[in-house]
Amino acid sequence: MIWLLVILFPLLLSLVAPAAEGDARRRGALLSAAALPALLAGLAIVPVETAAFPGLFLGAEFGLDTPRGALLTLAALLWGIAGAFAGAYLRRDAHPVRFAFFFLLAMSGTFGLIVAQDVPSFYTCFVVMTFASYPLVIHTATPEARRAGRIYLVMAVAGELFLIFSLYGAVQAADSLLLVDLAPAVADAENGRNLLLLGLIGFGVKAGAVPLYFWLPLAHPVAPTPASAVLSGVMIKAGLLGWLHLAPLGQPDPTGWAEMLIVLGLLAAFGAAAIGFFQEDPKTTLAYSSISQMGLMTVLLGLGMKAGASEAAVAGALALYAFNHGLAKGALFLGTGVVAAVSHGRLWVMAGLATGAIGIAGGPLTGGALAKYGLKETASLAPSPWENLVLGLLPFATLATSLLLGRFLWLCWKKPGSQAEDSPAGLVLPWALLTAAALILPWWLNPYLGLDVPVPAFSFAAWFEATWPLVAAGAILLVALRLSEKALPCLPPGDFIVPIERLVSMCGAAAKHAGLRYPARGSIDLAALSDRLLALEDARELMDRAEARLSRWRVVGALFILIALGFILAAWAI
Amino acid sequence: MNLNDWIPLIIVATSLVPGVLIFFLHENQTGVRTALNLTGAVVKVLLVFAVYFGVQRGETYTFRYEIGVDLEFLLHIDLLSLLFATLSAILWLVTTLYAIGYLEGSPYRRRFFGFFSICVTASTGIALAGNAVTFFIFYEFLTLATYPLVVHRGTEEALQAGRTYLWYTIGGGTVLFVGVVWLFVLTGSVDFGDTEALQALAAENETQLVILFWVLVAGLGVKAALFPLHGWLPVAMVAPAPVSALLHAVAVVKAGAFGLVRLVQDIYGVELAEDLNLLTPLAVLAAFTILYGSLRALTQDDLKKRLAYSTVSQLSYIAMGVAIPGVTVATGALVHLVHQGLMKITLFFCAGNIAETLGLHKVSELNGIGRRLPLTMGAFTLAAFGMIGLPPLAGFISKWYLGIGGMEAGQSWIVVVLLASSALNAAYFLPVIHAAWFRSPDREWKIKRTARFLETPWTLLLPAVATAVTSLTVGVFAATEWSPLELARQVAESWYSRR
Repeated sequence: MIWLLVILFPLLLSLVAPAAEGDARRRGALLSAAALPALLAGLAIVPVETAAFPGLFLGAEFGLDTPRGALLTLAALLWGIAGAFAGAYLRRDAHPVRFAFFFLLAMSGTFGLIVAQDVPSFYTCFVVMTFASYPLVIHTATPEARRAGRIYLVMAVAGELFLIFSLYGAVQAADSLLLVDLAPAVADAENGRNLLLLGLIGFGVKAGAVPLYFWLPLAHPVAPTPASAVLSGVMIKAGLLGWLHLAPLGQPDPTGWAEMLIVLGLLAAFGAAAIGFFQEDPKTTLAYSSISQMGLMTVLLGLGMKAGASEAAVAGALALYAFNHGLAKGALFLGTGVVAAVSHGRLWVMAGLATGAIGIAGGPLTGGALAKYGLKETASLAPSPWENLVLGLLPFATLATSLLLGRFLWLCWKKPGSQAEDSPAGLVLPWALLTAAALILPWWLNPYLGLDVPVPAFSFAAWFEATWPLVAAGAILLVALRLSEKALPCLPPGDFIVPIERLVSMCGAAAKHAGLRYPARGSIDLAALSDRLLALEDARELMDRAEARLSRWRVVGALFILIALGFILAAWAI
Repeated sequence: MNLNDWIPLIIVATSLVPGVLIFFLHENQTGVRTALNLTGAVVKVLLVFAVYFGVQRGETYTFRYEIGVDLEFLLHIDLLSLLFATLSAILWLVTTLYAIGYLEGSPYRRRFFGFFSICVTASTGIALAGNAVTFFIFYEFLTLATYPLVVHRGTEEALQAGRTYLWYTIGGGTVLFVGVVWLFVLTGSVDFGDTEALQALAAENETQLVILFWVLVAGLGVKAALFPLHGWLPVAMVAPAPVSALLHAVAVVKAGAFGLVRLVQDIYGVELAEDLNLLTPLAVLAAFTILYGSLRALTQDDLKKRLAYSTVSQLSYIAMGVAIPGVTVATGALVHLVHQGLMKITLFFCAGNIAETLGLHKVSELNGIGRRLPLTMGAFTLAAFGMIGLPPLAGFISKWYLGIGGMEAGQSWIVVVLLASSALNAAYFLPVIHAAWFRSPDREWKIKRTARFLETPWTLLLPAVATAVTSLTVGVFAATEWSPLELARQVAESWYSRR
């Protein structure tokens, strides 16, 4: 029963969302209450045996294992707190009910995909989450939001197609609908390599993997802040969870994609940090930081696919890393909303933001430090040379993260505060709660949920190792930003989508110039893109003319009589 | 003959009798006409359900009548008949309701409802036909009875479309006639499902059987809208919405697709068809139609035409599915017969509502109509998502079985076709949905119909919402015992277990 409640409760509340029109506080309460059953289940406060629902979908099964328990807890906490924040944040919004409706829908999908044990339920929830997020992305209806929404939708649909292809193959190879059977089947199947690649691409879109990430720095920041928090904190992890389901862990990698994951992950970790540093919007730097952190998680997954650490250990380490990043990133996103709303006490807010940032960077005693232990543990068990490569680069990844988040803090500080004397308690409280949770909960949950990430004994060497990148980053930033704030170049968000978009529009213009027109038909670019191919005048005319000719009755009649005669003759001849 | 054996005839009569009686009524006897229509439709649904339980219990329903020497008129209810008969019975009931609302106050309703019932009779007959000759009789019956509905409005455009329609379908019928006669000459009167007769001939008459197969495909392909025989379907969209909804989304086009299923499975049998190398070309043709239809749909601004091309594309899922051997893929094809009907009829109901309520026909005019017609557009959105193949809607289930079946058969190319089609479906449906919900209205609506509490009269709204909810339900509860999926699985398993 609890499983149905976890998934259906947000759905049911989405239907009563219109009742909360005009009352921001009630709406906030509604949105956070929706996450309650999921939180109870995630923390295993209620009994959480696996339960089968043979009539649902193609025979559904719901349940949790240790890493997914952690993910569900993360999802429930973040959605719940972001929901409370949303109540106050959207108090003057034009369409708060619409936001609430899709927020709850996406919430239901996210919880569902975490607790799903079988492929059809998982995919269903994944799709619900993906498509319910679209209205969240375009909620503000600004041109940037629409552009981001367009790119989001194209990428989402493309991702779904890769994903379902991979799932068809994996389910067929496994001859089972259960997610646990997929990875072994993929490892054994003849076409397993291809299936896994399709899956890696499909989920990679959601996870913001290089080179599929470019929609993310557009879509995550442009959504209303509470939606950004859940998009960047939780939904991005859905891709990671999907990878975990498909990738064979803890055995000699039969597919050969482990190296690719490690390399792409490192590329993301450093590259996204570098690009993010040159952004001007604090939320965009956070989005790039998410890509960078997901890169480290990708590295962890790649290492897990090499022989070494056990499957459970890898999954536990990933879950803990995701947990810490999710909460801290959520807190930072909400913080951007807080820092813009408060008129005094900004210093306190900045201190809170700095704590969250240190938490992500893995400063000593934070949840991030614990998460890093898990990463190191897995890396140290990996075969050479990956072990040395990853362990050697890790401090520099921390340095990169620290620089990026330092830049974020700087941008927040630079942004003018609010002049309004509007009491932002509805914003401050959820944010403060989330920041505190991000600091403490990873330590508590590690033993509570049985993630079993080992905590090494205290030593000054370890302390120093965790601290120097942060200190160095602080020093570099102070010097660099003081000296050359003005001279800092800035990159467009979404980086390489920009030249692609330009290329597409140039092709369009060239086509137009060459006398090839395409009809404007109240459609978003998904259609226009294909229109540009189809609407090449010649092709269209050819098809139209052929169709017109075919539908002229004399032609048809004559054709049929001819065919009939031909067949009669043929029959006779035989 | 016991009572059971009369039941197929009675099921056919439940729509024939009201249809004929309606012609004898006066144009203004709306009440009687409605009562006749609805009674017939309800009785038919009840009978079909009763028969469904009967068949599950192992009872047989066979009506035989000797027309001439060796020439049998045979109605027989097997699981496959039930699949199609249930679909057409239920959707007839829903569409009758819709048509009553849609045509309220318009002239010539007697003619409309009369022929409408006769069409349904024909499609039921096609479902229950037990051999090729009976199938052909009802197939032609359907062609003729649909014509008055296509030209119902009597405009120049409608008459032109009617002419095109007739040429295509009569032409197809002629070819089919040649095929059926040929088949009869070869084997005599053979019941569907008895594939041994043809198998026995295979060794000596290989070429002949190959040609015969393609003759039959050409005959059936017109109604099944296989490329290049699909041209009549978009043109026939001038017909009133209920006609487009039931006939051009379900009854007529399904008659063709259903015929192809019968041809591959019950006349030739998969084994023989595979041995003669007939299946792969058919699958390729269907795959091409899928992509071609979708591409054409993309460039249509007229909503009904976009839906029509979408039908062309979606129907070929069925043809492609039966042309790949395997239980799973066959299940997908069969369940799509039902699922596509549910989703497409919803879309046509919605298109009708938009046209009737706001006077809008073009995709480019739909900005912001979600605010004025929330329930209609909600139904439209569900059905369109289903067409794309998104879970948990009906279309997802069809594609799931087709896709996994394709992988099982080692033919991953059909998965690529399916996914390309999904992408194209998304490309032509998502813009409509986006415009309806997230854009602001940019024009004055000519409000044609209003209702006191609802966005449009309940007779128009209820059918659309009901079929949309059904396409959601059959997807969400696909694994239950009463789902179309279960029935489709039984049919597919029965085919592959009889070898």
